[in-house]
Amino acid sequence: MSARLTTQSVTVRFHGLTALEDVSISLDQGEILGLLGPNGAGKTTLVNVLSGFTRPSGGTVKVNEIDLTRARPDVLARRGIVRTFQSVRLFQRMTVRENVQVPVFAHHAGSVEGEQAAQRALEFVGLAEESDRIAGSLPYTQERLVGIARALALEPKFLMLDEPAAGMNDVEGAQLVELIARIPAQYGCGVLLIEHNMPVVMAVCERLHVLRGGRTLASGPREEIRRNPDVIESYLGGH
Amino acid sequence: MNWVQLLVDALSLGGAYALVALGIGLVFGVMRMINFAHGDLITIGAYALVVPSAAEVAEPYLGAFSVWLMVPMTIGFVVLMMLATERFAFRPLRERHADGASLLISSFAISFLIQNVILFIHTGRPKSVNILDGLRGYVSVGDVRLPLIDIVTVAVTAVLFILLVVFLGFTRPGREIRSASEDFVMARLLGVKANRVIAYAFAVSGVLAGAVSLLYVAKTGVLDYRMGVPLAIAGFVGTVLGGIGSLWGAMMGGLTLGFASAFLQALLPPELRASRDAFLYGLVVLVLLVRPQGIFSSSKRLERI
Repeated sequence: MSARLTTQSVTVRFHGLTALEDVSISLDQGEILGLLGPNGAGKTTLVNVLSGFTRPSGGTVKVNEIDLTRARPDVLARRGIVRTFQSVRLFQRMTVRENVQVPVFAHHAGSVEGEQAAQRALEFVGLAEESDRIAGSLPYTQERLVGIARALALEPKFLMLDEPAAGMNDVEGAQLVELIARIPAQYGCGVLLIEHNMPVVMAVCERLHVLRGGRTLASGPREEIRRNPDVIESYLGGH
Repeated sequence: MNWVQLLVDALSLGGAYALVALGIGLVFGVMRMINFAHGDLITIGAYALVVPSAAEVAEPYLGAFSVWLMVPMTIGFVVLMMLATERFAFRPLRERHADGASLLISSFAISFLIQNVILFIHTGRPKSVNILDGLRGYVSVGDVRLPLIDIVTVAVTAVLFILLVVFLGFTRPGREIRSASEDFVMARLLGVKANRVIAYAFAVSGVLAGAVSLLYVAKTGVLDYRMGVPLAIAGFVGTVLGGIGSLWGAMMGGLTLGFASAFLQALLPPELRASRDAFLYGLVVLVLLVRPQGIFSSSKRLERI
């Protein structure tokens, strides 16, 4: 059965500041949902809630009917909810392969399956040839790909990519689009893509969710969002 | 003094220092804390060889077993004590997010606690104990006679270092230790369990400390409740000298310190030999003035921090 990750009216307050208010999203296995919004709109906070790094002040996180609102990150990762980090922070002195293996083995995969999963993820992002290189010697773009491989090696049901195209040029961005578009077919997972780079988002997401000031501004199919006057005014206007 | 003899002397002392430096360096890697009690865990391992008593003549305890039992039992005991130290002295502090200074003070407290418990049980009188009698002999190389224990110390250091490299490079716990040493927060974010990886580091550190207990007692045949302190200081200096945060550096730093010590002992005019350590640590200060990042660490790494 295909699973669905949902948040229901999630609210997050830090010391009286409201970072998220009443945000409900849903992500199906096999689809790519774009999460848009200006800086400070609450995108990363939402990912933190979904991956267990932040406990919401209100609302629920569920996979199908299973409530995972208060689950810890490692529990969520074992249930197939996995994320990448905006700052990739590879272990510079370890090889590319080891970087991908660390999370796999930390989540109790057996040795053989773990190594195979890491290998598949490296092949998928096109870094199989580089797997014995020391991560500190990789160019920036490839570092980000290792970050994605690190998450994919856990064979997630739901993958959250936090600004994977940050700092990439147009060519690299286009290659990344092509890669992300292949993830659902290859891994059968749902992808939540947080991204500032509009061409990337528009190329790869059929459905978009737009946040502003911690609230949902709009949510729907790509074409509808593209024409939404609120979105154009607050976010797309400059583009 | 013959050069071969001096070299073996230097290698043996340097090897022992390197084992201590590696033990301290491993724990420092994952916890960013210098465990000053490391030397006293070496002392504990040494005292485990005799029956606890205030009697003047020590009766062997673990030291009475055959080598094949004594070595693993002594090392195992030090590992258990090391893990207990982590569990009861450091973990509660970590879990309450105590800062680095509190952890350091806690390690000093453990150091004094161990010394005084041993003082209470065994009294402060040094005790003599004979273990590994087979190592008491000499090996003749040409016309020099080299103490077997020194050669064994060098060999044990080499073997333990190779095992450590294999462990860190090719096993799961080893990879976790390396990832946590490089970026503890990120390792945790990726699912590496903090308590588990720290326990691994303490356990390996305990194996190294236990090995030093045995080698040290086999060489000197004497137990003293403060015997571990100078070793811990030498090991700590070794890690800093080699470039703190790098195990290769810790190894080389320990070796260097041992070499410098042995060579000063041999080359200083006899009337200055008593103040050898003043020269030794004076040299350390000079070296650090020139290379504050340590001898064997690249300046690049310092910049990256």
